[in-house]
Amino acid sequence: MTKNKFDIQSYYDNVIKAVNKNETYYCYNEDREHNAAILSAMLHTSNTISMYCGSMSIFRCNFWEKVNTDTSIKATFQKNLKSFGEDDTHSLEIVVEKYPKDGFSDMIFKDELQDMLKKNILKIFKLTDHIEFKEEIPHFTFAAPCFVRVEQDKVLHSALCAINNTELMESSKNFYSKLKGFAEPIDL
Amino acid sequence: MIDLLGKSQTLFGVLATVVVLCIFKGSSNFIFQIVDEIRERIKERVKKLKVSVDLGPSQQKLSAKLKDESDTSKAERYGKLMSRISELQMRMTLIDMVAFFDEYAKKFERIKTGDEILRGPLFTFLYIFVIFLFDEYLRSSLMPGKEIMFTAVSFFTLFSSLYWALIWLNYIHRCLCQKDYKVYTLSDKYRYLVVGGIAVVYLIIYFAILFVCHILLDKHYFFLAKIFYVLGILIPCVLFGLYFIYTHPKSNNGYYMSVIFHLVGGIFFSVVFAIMCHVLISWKQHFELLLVSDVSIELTKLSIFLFSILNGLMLPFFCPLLCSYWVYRFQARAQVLKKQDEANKMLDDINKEMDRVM
Repeated sequence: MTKNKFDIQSYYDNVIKAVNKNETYYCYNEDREHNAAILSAMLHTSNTISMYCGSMSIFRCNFWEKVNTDTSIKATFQKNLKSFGEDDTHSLEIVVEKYPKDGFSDMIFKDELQDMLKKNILKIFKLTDHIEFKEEIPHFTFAAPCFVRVEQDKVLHSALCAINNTELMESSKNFYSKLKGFAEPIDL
Repeated sequence: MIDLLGKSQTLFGVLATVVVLCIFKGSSNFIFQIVDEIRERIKERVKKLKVSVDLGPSQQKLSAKLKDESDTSKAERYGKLMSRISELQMRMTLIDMVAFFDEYAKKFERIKTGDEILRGPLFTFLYIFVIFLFDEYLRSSLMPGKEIMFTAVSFFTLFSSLYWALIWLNYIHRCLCQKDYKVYTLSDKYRYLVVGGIAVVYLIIYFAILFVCHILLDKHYFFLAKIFYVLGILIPCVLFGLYFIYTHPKSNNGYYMSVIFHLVGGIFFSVVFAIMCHVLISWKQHFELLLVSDVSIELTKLSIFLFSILNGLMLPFFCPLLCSYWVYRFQARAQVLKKQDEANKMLDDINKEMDRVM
């Protein structure tokens, strides 16, 4: 059940509760803040996350500059990212639509990400350049056991978030593995 | 004197001059240039193909509902419908299409890299050159065995046509079908051994065919003998050709060696078969019935002309072009239209259910 009217902390808590209780749950992501809340919830509840995104904007300064600073979501996100990276059995795999010209220089949470890269918890791939219509492929993220976020608007970061929809989860896994077949690892 | 080319010598000379322009890659090769340009245009059209179904209105309607819905069961229904739309979006826009474009990029690459476009004219140029030599031989009043040489020309044209028919069919098959065959390379030593073995086997088969033909001719089955003779020569060639073309396509040290090897091989077998045939005719007259009758000079001349123009100019031009068009029109576009129909049907179902739920 969605409750976008709630503040972002309640939104985050509801998602965590649904995952922990193994409930079927859907909610709508309106903006960057909700996007951050969802990924944060994934980092908190899952040990394996796979993501197809533009150029990892959620890990960039530019993204967080547009997020409401009154909320605690940034701190929660950082805390969850850190604790996700502390367990060597965890995995965060990202396929980026395009590798940015300036590389990953303007990353936020650099220490956490570098640590994850060193431990091989974070793996980044890039879609090869000859793929047509890259920009029309929707961005999506899925986390074990059954947590999916599919973006509808790449600029607004609006998305559907589905918990315990096994069909969507299976499709996402399937599409991701196809996509990864056309990606190459980025050596950072 | 056998006047093989006659007044058509000039025509063949011109044909050879035009064909020689097409044996190297580059701006002077007009076939290569034109085909390259048209193929790239068709390839661009394939790249622009996409499944276009407007999911926006349904998506917005459901997003608005899901955003404000506080009833758990209703939110779940909206969420499920949105999931189906998201799945549809992922499927049609293009994660499947990524594989789709990759498949067609490979096909266009195969069309582009096929060396037949250059090999065909090169073989044809050498073929015309050899025909000119045969023609001079047949014109000369000094040279012996003109009947044998004329039969050899007919065999040579037959072998060349068969060899290139197989190569062009293989090119079309390679370009249009997706399947990649497992290929093997032969070492130099092993290659010559296999080729030598095949030559010996082929000669033995030819002896056997002549023996069977002798029996059939003796029993006055003339037509059957003729058919058996022609098929007996062609079928082993086709089988050997298919074996090499699919299992050892790169076993000739590049296409120059391949062209020269097949040309020399063709001449060798043509002369040997012709000599054997005429020796038998001098022994038993009925063997003459195996060869083509009175109109054979005109028929041979026509065959030479058709082979030269088809293999030297027409097929190197039309095969890649028609393959490109076929890939676009009957494979890529047809596949996209099919996907679009499927996507529209799925969206209709989702919309119907959405109307029911709302």
